[in-house]
Order: sequence, then structure tokens, then C-alpha cells
Amino acid sequence: MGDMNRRDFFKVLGTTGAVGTLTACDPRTPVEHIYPYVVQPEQVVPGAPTFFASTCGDCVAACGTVLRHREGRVVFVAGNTESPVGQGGACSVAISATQEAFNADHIGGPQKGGEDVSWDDALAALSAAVSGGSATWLGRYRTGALDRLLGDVAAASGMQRVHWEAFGYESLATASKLAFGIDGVPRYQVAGAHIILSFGADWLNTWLAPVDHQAGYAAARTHEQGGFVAEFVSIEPRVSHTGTKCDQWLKSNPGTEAGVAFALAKLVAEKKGSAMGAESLLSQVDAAAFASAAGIDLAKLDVLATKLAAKPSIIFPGGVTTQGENSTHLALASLVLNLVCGNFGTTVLLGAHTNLGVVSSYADVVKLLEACAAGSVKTLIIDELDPIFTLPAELKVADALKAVPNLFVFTNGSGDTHPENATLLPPGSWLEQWGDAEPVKGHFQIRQPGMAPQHNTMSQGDVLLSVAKSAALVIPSAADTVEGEAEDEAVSSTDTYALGDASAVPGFEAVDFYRYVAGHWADKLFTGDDFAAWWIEVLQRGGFAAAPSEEPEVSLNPELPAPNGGSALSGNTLLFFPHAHLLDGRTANRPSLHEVPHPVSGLTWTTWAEMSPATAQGLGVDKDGHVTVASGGVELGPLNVRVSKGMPDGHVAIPSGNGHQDGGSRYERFGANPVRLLKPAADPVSGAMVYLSSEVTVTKTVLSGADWEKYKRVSLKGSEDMDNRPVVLDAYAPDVVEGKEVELGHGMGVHVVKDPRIEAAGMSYDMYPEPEHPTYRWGLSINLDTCTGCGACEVACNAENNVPMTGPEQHQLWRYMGWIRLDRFWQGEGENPDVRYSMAICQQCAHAPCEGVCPVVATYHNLDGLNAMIYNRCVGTRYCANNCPYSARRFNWHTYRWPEGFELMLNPDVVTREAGVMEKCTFCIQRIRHVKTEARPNTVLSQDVERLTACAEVCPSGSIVFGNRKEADSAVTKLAESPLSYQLFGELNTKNGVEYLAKLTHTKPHHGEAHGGGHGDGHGNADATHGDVGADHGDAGHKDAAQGDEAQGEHHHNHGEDHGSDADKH
Amino acid sequence: MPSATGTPRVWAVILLGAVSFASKCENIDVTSNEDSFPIETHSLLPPEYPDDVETRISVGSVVQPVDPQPIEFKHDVHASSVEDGGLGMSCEYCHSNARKSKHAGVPPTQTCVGCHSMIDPSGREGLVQLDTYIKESGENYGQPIPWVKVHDIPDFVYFNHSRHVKSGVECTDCHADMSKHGVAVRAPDMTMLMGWCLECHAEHPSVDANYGADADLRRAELKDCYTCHQ
Repeated sequence: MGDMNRRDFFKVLGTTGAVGTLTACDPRTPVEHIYPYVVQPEQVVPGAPTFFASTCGDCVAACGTVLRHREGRVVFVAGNTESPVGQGGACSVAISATQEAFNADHIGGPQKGGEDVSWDDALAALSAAVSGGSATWLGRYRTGALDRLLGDVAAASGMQRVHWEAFGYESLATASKLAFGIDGVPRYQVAGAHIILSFGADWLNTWLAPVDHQAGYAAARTHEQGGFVAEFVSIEPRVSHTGTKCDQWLKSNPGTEAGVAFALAKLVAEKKGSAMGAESLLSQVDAAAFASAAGIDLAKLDVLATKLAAKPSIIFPGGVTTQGENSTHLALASLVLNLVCGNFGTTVLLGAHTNLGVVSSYADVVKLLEACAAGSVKTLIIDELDPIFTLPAELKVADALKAVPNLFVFTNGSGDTHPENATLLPPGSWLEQWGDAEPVKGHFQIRQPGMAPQHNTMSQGDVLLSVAKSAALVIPSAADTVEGEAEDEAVSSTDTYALGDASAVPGFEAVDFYRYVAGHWADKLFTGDDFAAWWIEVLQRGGFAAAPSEEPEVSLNPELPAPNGGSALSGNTLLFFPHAHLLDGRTANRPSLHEVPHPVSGLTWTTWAEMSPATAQGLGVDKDGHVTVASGGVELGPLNVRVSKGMPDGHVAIPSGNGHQDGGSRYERFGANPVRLLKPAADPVSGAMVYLSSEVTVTKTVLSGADWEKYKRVSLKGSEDMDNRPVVLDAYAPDVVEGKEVELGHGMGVHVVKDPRIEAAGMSYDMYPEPEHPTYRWGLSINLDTCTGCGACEVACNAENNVPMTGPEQHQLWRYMGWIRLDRFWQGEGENPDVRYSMAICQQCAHAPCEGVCPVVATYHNLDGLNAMIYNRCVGTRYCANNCPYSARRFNWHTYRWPEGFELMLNPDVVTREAGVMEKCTFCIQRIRHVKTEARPNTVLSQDVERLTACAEVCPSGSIVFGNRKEADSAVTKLAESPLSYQLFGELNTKNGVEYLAKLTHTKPHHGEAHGGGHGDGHGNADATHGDVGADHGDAGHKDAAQGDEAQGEHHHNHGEDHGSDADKH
Repeated sequence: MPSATGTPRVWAVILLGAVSFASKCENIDVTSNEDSFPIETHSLLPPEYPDDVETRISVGSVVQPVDPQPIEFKHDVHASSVEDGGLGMSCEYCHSNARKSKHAGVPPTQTCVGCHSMIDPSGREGLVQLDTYIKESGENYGQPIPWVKVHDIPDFVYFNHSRHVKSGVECTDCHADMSKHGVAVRAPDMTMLMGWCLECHAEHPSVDANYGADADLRRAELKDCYTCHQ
């Protein structure tokens, strides 16, 4: 695609297959060309999508994905409903994978010292280096065929393998091995748990298999499914992104979580009367001492232990933020607690466990780097890791790597690890590769490319096979063959599937990694007669589930080390936490992940320092301020300040992922990298990195002029809490389960004041006639209880609807274009953070305030119940946006162009908008049209449309359901009839197409008092004084708000305390 | 490089890359952030339209000629009936995606080769032009044929061929009888303006045939802006 002017490309995406444009200046209509194929591939129909089942390659979870292909490109990534991992959801990282493939900063081919080299030269150098022996492979966790091939190459060439990832799982793997002798880490199945307990793992967003966990969490929180609503207790020093969903937060002193877990295990064992083999271990536990070190009242732990002893539960271990010097003990304690609670085999699986392949530790990596620095490592191959960015500055990784004579780095050009002496080998994006994964023991998933490589790339598997061939290595697994006639050319042409012959190296002539994968599957999984048919089914479904392994009888190793509960760290420890979208920095080259506001802080394109209100006050800063954080001579700043009620006093928390200093991609250089502040330290048991290692000093930074402009950032979340507006209503979970009548929002909900005289006179409250919806009334139901605020919907919506990325300067002017605004309201304090997420989109009102004010009828109500938005009619008055009570509309202040390269990822079914045009959510009208066209000539769709919109399709927790409200038995209609369902600002009588399901809470509401503010009391007055005049209702609303404000200060003072005592009671 | 060789799956060669694009009068970009976020100046006009009003009005004219086609393709020879001296080919022989996709499709060169490899081009200009694309010695061999678009539907309009063809709308209803025309031109009676579309959406007999008692409702739906607009 080198010659093409990409900027022009997107203008004509709606036309036949291969199309280009010429914009000439002569006075005629623009001349456009149609470029047909010379030879058209059989499966391609220009203009129609093709779908490929594949497997995400961005983290160890390896969720099944479905790639939507149009005209040679992958334009959308969604989850695969057949995949046991993820179950149809997709996270923001998987969805943004196209931005890796089309990134303008992707290197075009292999490079050395900034100069292009040929693959032949690069591979020759690599082969020579590998065959010279003593090569070392330092890379990500790998499973499946690549793991096997690496094993064979290592065995044949003497290559050493080190598999490590930042935020890795060596502590849990070591603890699992230590306690139960299992290779791998447990698989966590949240669905059956009544009590969910976590010690800091960000399991809903970044830890292990978040998409899978989210599906399970949603099931555990949906009382219709299991007859219960799970209660989530989070024990961690800082309310993490996952912690924002908790029902109770027990604030632990950083570094003491292991002690709390041991103490709980002891208490549960005492209550159950059985320690399940952990007697000797737990006899060494002093529960009171551990609780006191953690700063948690033992009585509260006792209440929690009673619940754990009584109900099925699940206990997650620690995460990055709680990873101290005893992280293995924390992991071990969580496993022991799961054991005494009886969770193995139900919610925690060791048989069908999570498979990570070879797991090395941080200590192994440090040892390797020391050897590099000493010059004893001759050949180092780095596989898609960024050690310079993810390891502490003190380790001087860059210098160590410079001392390696033969350095090869698999990278697509992003990240900091591309030293001058390295040969960079671009493997391409997983959207372009063949491969597979075995994320869970017994579940095999295929990775098939959704498009041809966009650059001159070669996957790790192909490189290894090529190296093996030229270095004449004997690779036994390459000899796996499959017999049978090929019906489909995808598998092979006329020859059988001879995959090479171990005894005759020339067999490699036929081998590429695709065939190696096929051979691996044939060898490991295929048992029938007709491989071709089986293989095609595998490719279509995306994977293969072997019979789930039997759950073993778990027995605890009686000889475990004495429990190390940890000791509380000083009050100015850096609490390092993983960024929800950027992970360890590996996805920082994808602009859409910086563009969507961080789910909790709302900040974009930056790194921030999080602190408690008291700490911020002590420093004299507020949310608009800046600080510099320093440790051991390294200064980080100026950082934006985020004041959070979920922070312990004194400490400061900084997210990962931002701030590449030497980043290969232009999008990676925003913000700052807190890893630089960390001290190199390892857990002595597992060798895991210690993230709670650094004491920092925080100083206020006063910026002015250009610096202020440069570092000024706004939180796109707007208000910190709901400001007494009834946005996200709640309901008391036990009442819901028991089927009692629930009052949504406890007085804060919708109050429509009815005037009997209006009804008596036969008049209507409606200003407009009721619109007709003869066949469809499209609706969306959004479950605000199971919504975890992960942000996948935002990223998916932006990708599907070609929503432009506007960048940091425009964000300072609040010109963010995303159609979905994921609101976050931090309602509570102390033990009950009560954080509420709301997905705010166009509500598709039947009585839409926007429609009446449009002078050119660019927006109107259509027969399907949509607020249609006709872009070419719009003249940009912005009246509609001003009149929208939901702030759902976005105005194009400029014609936002896509950054170079990204025109290719645009959805050809959706037009791009230009300056002066209003845009908003359309319920993915292009998808609705598509299914309607498919359904012709039937008038009514019969197919399942529950996950039709892009947001609903990817939502990992299945919280978004789309459908036709005119159909009595559609899922969306049934959800709308639920007592938990409400319309946003229902008193406005806009008759929305979007319905919300209330958040469920385990905190007993105070009767007659609004849960999140003083609104309820205020409203009582309003009813009395203004209730008789319907027209005054708006006025009454204002009075409510004013009274609420007065009440708010007082109310908030004792809010946390009140709820804390409530939590004790039940 | 090794890839899935011998596996001609969907990713065939994408021919776009072979084409160089020209863009003579693009607006100047006001870029921010080192080119990361290009922002264009505010312009209510599409960039390809000139600013002066008279020329703009003439641009609106529907009778203007289109650029010459790279090959003088004669629709009449292919599509008119055998009795009339033609080949009697169906439209969908070449525009084979009309029933499957939003685009009717222009045939791949492969389709032309099917017959033309056996036809002597001597003395016929169109066939000599075609030969440059299909003979290995030809100067354009391996290149896609750069057909000039005759009708360009705006990007903000959603038009789907398959939906119309499957509903029983004949090709000739919109494209006239191409068996009577040679090289495709922009004909004055075929305007592709919105009112022209709506005439059919209001009256086309296929609506009654397909929807019977629901035809009136269907007609109302067909006049909904969102049927075609984005």
C-alpha cells in the first residue's frame, strides 16, 4: 500500500471493493475510479463483510474473537460467543487491535540501527546466532503451538527460555505449585460465588482473564439466574478500578493483605470446624495481630468470615498494587482461604486451570540482564517485551542490552526497547498471524488472520521455523503429519499435509507456521478420519474444547513456609496500579485507548497522581493542580492531580502504561512512567517483582503560561458525584432477591407529579402527539449493576461508527467526540465507596427535545423509534445539543481527520462527518439496515438482535441488550418490565428508548433519606408545596436541588460511618 | 516470506496499492500535536468543490460528460439479444454481486479473459485496449482496469443493490436499457437525485407485490430519511 495517499482513501470507502479517488480542480463533479480485482478471491464479495474466528494475542487471557473483514482489511474486532474464555465479550484492548496493524509508526520491515534490512539478512544473522548455542529467549508467556516449537528449538539448539511479563503471575504460579503441586494458576469462575473477596487483583479489568471474569460477575449479580446477588468485598489499600464495584471496602495498610487473608482463613476454619489440611499452617496465624497490622477491625473480619463460612465464595489474590515482598504469601493465603471455604472445584478450578506456559520470574530476568551487562550473553531474542519501559530505571536495562552482541527484538516498532545494536523483527499484529493458544487447560483456540499482513512482517513461529531450517535443527514436532485428501485449499493443495520430516531437514521446505499449527492440532487433538472437514469446522468455530479435565482432589502440601503476613509500609509509599486500557504499556501506541477517558479518573492522554482529599489539601493542590513525585533522585512530573475518596491518606498512586521516553510510536510519549520510580526488589520466594517498593516525596508544582496550557487536563467525567441528580438509581439487593417491592433510589427516583384536573379534563401531559411505531421500537436496556465501567463499549462504538479522535488539546476544550459517555459517580465514602457507572448515550426519546428545535429537520423521529440524524441536512445550529437533557450530542468543531494510516481501519458502512455537523448515537443504524436487508422479504426480523449494536456486541458482562420493544417477548421488553428498570430523568417525560436497570446494593438504605444525597427529603417538601400544579414541576425540581445541596454537606459527614455500621449488622 | 502459501483465502492481493492517487487541491491541514491529530479548517464545502458560485452551479448539471473510460466497453454488444446481433448476456454475468452486496460490482479482469482470450482484437480499438491488460506482454498487464465512475452516490447516502434487486426492481428501472447504449455515459434522463429515488419509493409496483396489505406501511417506511441517509 506504499504508494497510496491514505488520507484520501476514506472518502470513498463506500464504493466498490477497490476504489480510489482523484480530486481535480476542474469545474466538474469529482472524478472517481473503480478498481476491480484482476483475479477476485472466491470468498470475497466487495461490499459484504466476511467474518473470521480468531484469538486475541494481546494478553494471556487469549479470548476468542471474531474479526469482521471488509475489502482486504479487518474493520472490527468482537468476541466469539463460542469461546469458553470471554464468552462473546471483548475488552478495549482487543477491539483496538486494528490500531496496531494500521499504525503509521509500525515499522515496515526488519531494521537494524534504524536502517531497513532484508528478512534474508536478518534471518541469516539470527540463525547463525542461534546455532552458535547459548542463545536466550526472553519473551511473553506463550502457549499452544508456539510454546511447543520454542521448546523444540530450545532443546535442539540449547537455547534458554525466559518467559516473563510485567504484572505477571509468578507469585500465584509459585504458590499454586507450592501448595498443590499444580503447574499453572487456578481458573476463577465467578458465576457461582455468593461472596466475592479480592485482595487487590484488578480481576474485572486487567488481571488474568478479565473478560471471562466479567461474564461470571454479571451472572453472580443477576438474581434471575441464581436466585442471589453476590456481595463483593474488596480488601486493598486503594479502591482499584475493580474495587469501584465493591459493596464493602476494607482499607488495609499497604503490604499487610497477606496477613488479612491468613487471619480470615483461620477465622473461617474455626467457624467451619475444619481447616481442610491447613491446620498446622493456620495454627501459626495470630488473627488479631494480623488484623491490627492491617488496620482492620477484627470484628469486621469476623463478620466477613461468618459469611464466607456459610456461602459459596471466591477469593482473588493480590494484584500489582498489593504486590509487596511477600506477594507469594498473599497468593498462598488466598489459595488457603479458598481451600478452607471449599471453593476448589466450584468457583476455583485447578483441573481446567489457566495455562500460562512457561512462567519465569522477575528475578530470572534480573539475573539475565546482569549476565548481559557482564557480556556473558552472546545472543538475546526479546519477544514482544519492553524491558526498558517495564523494569526499574536502576537496573539500567538499556546499558545491559547494549552489551549483547547479537540482539534481536520482536517488535512492531512501539515501545522503548529498540537499542541501536538490536535487529528489530516485526511480527505483525495478531490480526495478520496464524497461531493458536491454550488459555485454559483443555480449551484450544485457533488464531487465523483476518487480513494479509499490512507490512513486511513475519510471525515468531515462521521466524523460528526458518531459523530451524537454516541452522539444521531437528524439530520433532515439525514431523507431525496429517493424512487425508484436501477438499479445502485452506488446508493444503493436492499434497497431503506432510509437515516436514525430522530425519530429513529438507522437509522444512514445505513448512510454514500455518502448517505447523495444523500439524500440532492434528497431533494433539484430532481423532477422527476426515481432518480437512474437522479443520474447517475448527477454523469456523475458532477453537476446540477437549473434554474438561476432572477436578483433582486438592490436598494441601503440609510443609509450607510459616505465614508471612507482611508489615505495613510507611505513609508515603507509591501505590503503582495498572491502567485499565494501557496495561503495562504494551498498548500505548493505540490512540483510541488514550482517547477514551480513563473509566475512573476521566483523564485522557496523561499520567496522574492520585491522592486522598486530605493529602491533596495538605499539599495545597486540587484537581486542577500538578505535583512532582520523586524517589531516589528520579523525578516524575509535572503530573496532574486526581483527588480520590478511594485513596488512603499519605500515599500516592500512579497508573502504568504512559510515558515512553524513547517510544517508537508518537502516541506513547504522553504522560510519565512511574516504573522509573520503583526500586528493584524481588519477593524471595517466587522472585516476583515488588511493586510496593518505593517511598516517594510529593511536591506541589505551580505551572504557568505555556506549561500550564501543556499540562492542563480536564476530567471528562464531569462531576465527581451525582450532585443530587437521580442519574443512577439503586435498590437494596436482599429486597430484590426476596421479591419485595423496591423503591428505586430510595426516594431519589422518578417523581412525576400528576394533576388530577388534567386527567379529569381528558387532557394529556404530552406536548406532542404520540409517535407511531408500526413495526419496531428499537430499545436498549443497560444494566448499571453488572456494568463494570471497563470502557469496551466506548472503544467499540468509536471503532464501529468512525468517531474521530480529537486529541488532548481538543479535550481541554471538552471536544471529545465519543458517542458513549461512560459516567462515573463516586457517591459514597469510607467503607462504602458506592461508585456508580452509567453509560450515557442518545436515549432515542419518543418525545425528543432535540427534534422540535431543529430548524432544518435534520433530526426527526422515525418509524422505528430512532432519533434519526441526517448529516447532510445539518447546518450546525447546535440547538439540538443545547436542548438535549442527556448531553448526548457531539458537534464537529473541525473536520477531524484520522491520523495517518488509520483511514484503513474505518468502517466503510459509516460516513465520516465534517466540520459544522452534529452527530450522536444512532443505535448503529448501519447494522440495523444490514440485518433488515438480510431478512428481506420478511417485514419483521426474526433473527436474534440482542447484541446487534457495537456496544452490546462487545460488552463483556452482557450488560447491554438491544431489541424491539414492540415485541412482547423480546429480551429488551422483558428487561424493561423489570421492577428495577427505569428511564433516565423519567420526570421529563421524554419517553426514552433506553432503559436502565438499577444498581444493586448490599448496604441497607436509610428509610426516608436519599441514599446519595439529600434529595429525598427535599422532594417530600416539593410534593406538599407544588404537587398540585403540574406545570410547576420543573420549578419544584430546582427547589429540590437547592435543598439537597444544603443537606448534602451535613449528610456526607456521617455517610461512611452510617454505612459502615450497616455493613456490620448483616 | 512464508505465509499461508497455497491457501488463497480471502486476502488476495489488494490492488489498491498499485494505484497512485493524486490530490491536487486538498485543504491545508492545521495540524496539532506533531501531526497526531490532523484538524482541517472549517469549510462548509466539500474540498473538491471550487469556491466560486457560477462554477458550482455548473457542477450541479447532470448532463456534463464523464472522463473517457480506459477501455471503450460496449454494453450493447454484450447485452443486446442475439436476434439484435448481440451476445445476449445477462447483466449479472458481469455485475455478479448485485444480488449479494451493496455494490453490484465491476467484473474482475479474470471475467473478461474468460472469453476475450479467444477473441481476435485486430482492428477493434476497445479490444486492443483490453489486450494491454490481459496479455502478458501488455503494458498494463496485472494492473486493475481504472474504470471511471459514471455515477457517484454521495458518501452520506446508503444504497444497497442487493436489496433492490432482490425486491424485484429490474436493472433497467434505474440504469435504463444498457443493451441500447455503448459506453456508459451519464444520461440526462437518469438523474440520481433524491426526488428521482423517491418517485420509485412511492410508487414502484414491487412494493405491492412484496408487501400486499402492508404496502402502505412499507411505502411510508420507504420515505423515511433513514432508509437511505446516514
